[in-house]
Amino acid sequence: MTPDRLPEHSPPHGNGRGAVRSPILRTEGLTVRFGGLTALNNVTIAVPRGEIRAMIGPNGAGKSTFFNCVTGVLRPTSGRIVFDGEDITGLPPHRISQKAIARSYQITNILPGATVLENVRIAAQSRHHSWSLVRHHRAFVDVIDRARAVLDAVGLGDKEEELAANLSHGEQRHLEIGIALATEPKLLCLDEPTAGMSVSETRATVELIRQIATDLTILIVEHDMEVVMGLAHTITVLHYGEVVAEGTPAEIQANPRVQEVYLKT
Amino acid sequence: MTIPFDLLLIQVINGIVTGMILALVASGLTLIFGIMDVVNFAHGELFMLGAYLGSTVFLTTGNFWLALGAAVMGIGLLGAVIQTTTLRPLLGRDPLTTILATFGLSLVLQNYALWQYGPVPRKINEPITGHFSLFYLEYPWYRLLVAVLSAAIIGGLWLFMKYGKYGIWIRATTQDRVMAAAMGIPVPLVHTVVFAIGAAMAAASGVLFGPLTGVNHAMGLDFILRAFIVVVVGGMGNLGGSILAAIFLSLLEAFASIWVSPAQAVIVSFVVLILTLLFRPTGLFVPTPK
Amino acid sequence: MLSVQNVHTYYGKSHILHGVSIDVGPGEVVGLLGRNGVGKSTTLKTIMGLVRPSEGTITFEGRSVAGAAPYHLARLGIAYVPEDRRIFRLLTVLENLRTGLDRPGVPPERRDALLAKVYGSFPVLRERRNQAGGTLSGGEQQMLAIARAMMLEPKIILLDEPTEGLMPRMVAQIHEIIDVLHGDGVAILLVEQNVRLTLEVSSRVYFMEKGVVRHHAPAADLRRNDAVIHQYLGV
Repeated sequence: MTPDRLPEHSPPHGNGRGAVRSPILRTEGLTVRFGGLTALNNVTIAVPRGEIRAMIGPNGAGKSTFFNCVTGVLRPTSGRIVFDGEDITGLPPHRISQKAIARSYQITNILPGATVLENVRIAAQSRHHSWSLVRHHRAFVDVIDRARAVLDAVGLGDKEEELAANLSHGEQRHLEIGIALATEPKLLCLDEPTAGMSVSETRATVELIRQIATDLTILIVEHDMEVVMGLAHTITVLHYGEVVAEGTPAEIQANPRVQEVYLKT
Repeated sequence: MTIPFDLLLIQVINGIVTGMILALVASGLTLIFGIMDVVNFAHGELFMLGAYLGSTVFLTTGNFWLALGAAVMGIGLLGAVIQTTTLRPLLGRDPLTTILATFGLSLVLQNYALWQYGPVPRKINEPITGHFSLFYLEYPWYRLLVAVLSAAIIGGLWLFMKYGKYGIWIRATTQDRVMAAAMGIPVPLVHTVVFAIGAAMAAASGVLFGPLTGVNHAMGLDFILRAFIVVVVGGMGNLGGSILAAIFLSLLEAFASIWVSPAQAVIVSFVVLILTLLFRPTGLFVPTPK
Repeated sequence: MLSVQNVHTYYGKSHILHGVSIDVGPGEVVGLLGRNGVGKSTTLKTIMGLVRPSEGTITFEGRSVAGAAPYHLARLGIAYVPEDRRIFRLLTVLENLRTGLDRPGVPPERRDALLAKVYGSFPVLRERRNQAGGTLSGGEQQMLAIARAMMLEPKIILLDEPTEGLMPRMVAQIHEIIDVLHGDGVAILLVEQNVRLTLEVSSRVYFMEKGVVRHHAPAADLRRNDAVIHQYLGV
């Protein structure tokens, strides 16, 4: 029984783009130790602007730990994280968000009691905070327009008055992506965006990510190989906290070391 | 200002005696929390009902020990019924739900006690009267008996948990109720039994306390408040910690009573509570997890 | 003996199992392979009653057991060894074993025999029998978790990634234990990422992908042709 494969996608060559400008995200020797356990060991990567970078690896490879460092949830033991030329190592999450890095979570973080539009509006408002009461009214309209635009982008434009709790699982994950988008990020970190989705929901999500990727850099952790191979420009493979391989999907699939890591044969 | 040595020693003894009763009450509370994550706000009412039930039996039989036995059995059974009907269905839900449930129960039990027993205070006579001379004080034997009995009950509980046939079931369920169930341990039954034990311990404390202050509706209030403080300071769910904390806090208060009135001495316990929450929130005697 | 039919499981709204069907016959060792996140552990947890399925049936020895309480399943003869071992850290090794041993209906002679047998298979547990479970090394904890399950004298053991994080030497020990269990007629449903071990001990292997079983083959075939393995496990 052969599985249905996602439609073939030939991404633009990731490596050429970043060569002219400096990478938007760079880590140098990123290391995280929890007592005796080394979760990340000397991880050095560079993600060019506009790329879709996937991080894969077996369980416990350090993917979540890496994410947590970049998004400020975890402080690395040593090493640096440089975003858009600025050292962001060790900054707390709310400051990271201000630097235009957004993240979606494995467990949905939406507000179930609020409407779809409200969920996104709150995120959109965070970008343009103003204390002035006079200015506030006009800015409010702008914020709602921006929120609506985001909802259209994630395909929830016709559900803006719906309570977030009433959405299907796939729609909720899309809303989550929308919330992240509304903060106008330069880097979007997606943590297993297709977890718990059916095949059709997965396809819809892949399409969505492809569409929003045009103005963004995306970092994605995923287990679903079809999603990864179909979406990513470049893949970084982690194993026991170390970078084992990096390259285009074709290169990774042909890499015997990667097969070894995954198959343990 | 020199502190007379005999006063100090008296307060040490007072502190330990009070501490042991407090430990008995707090143990029941922390046992229940440790195994099923329920903060039993009705614990004080079980304490008070135990005393009332004991006083009724005492009235008819004139025997302190029968009163104690009856209270323990009766309230233990009540505890089992309460857990099965009210708390078991709420297992696994938001903790706020069980807090509201036990709080509601406390209101129901309070009013029941008022209705059943009326507002007139009752009496239980101590089984042994008489005093011995402690320096310039006549110290009642009964107070010492209470401390010894409390220690015996707690000791019995500890022995049961460590060596008893079903003690393992209780300890395993406390540590990991999911895995305990996967090992064939009937977790819902264990929960009910533990709640019953906690209730029985509260009732025993009530009867033991009865001769000291008289049995009335407000008899346990201050005590229960301290019991909650003890549970937090000792580490919620930590039996050994509660016992140490109970004695520690009682000693502190006893010493403080040398200078201020006992009503003001309770401030000491609150200060310790606040410090614990600030610096070692998992419990004073528990190493803070990283 | 154990039959899982079209089981759907959700974690909240997250649809993890999309209709899983698996069979294990008496005394069989059956493997369940697949990448991370496909729902292998969730399948075991659903069978063990730790998670309630929303749809589908699970029958054990003819009885319907979907949604039954875990302690009931343990009494019926299904034992569970979770991915993170979950031994009782504050209980001693012996007390850990006793959680399975202290069952109604086990006369003292059988108790002693069971204990002796497990100590024979795992001498290190006898050495450490009075030590707290939390002080054991990772490999020893894995041994204890399996030994503890054996105390239930189960008809089937659900083993979730027993070799994860273990050194190659310990992986060999796991292999031996599985052989011993198989020799005693205990069925095993083995979830693993270690393909070699799985092919060596299993008679049949299921492959899962995105919450469904996609392929099912005798281990013998897979040993000869590993294209399927690359497809479902590789990159």
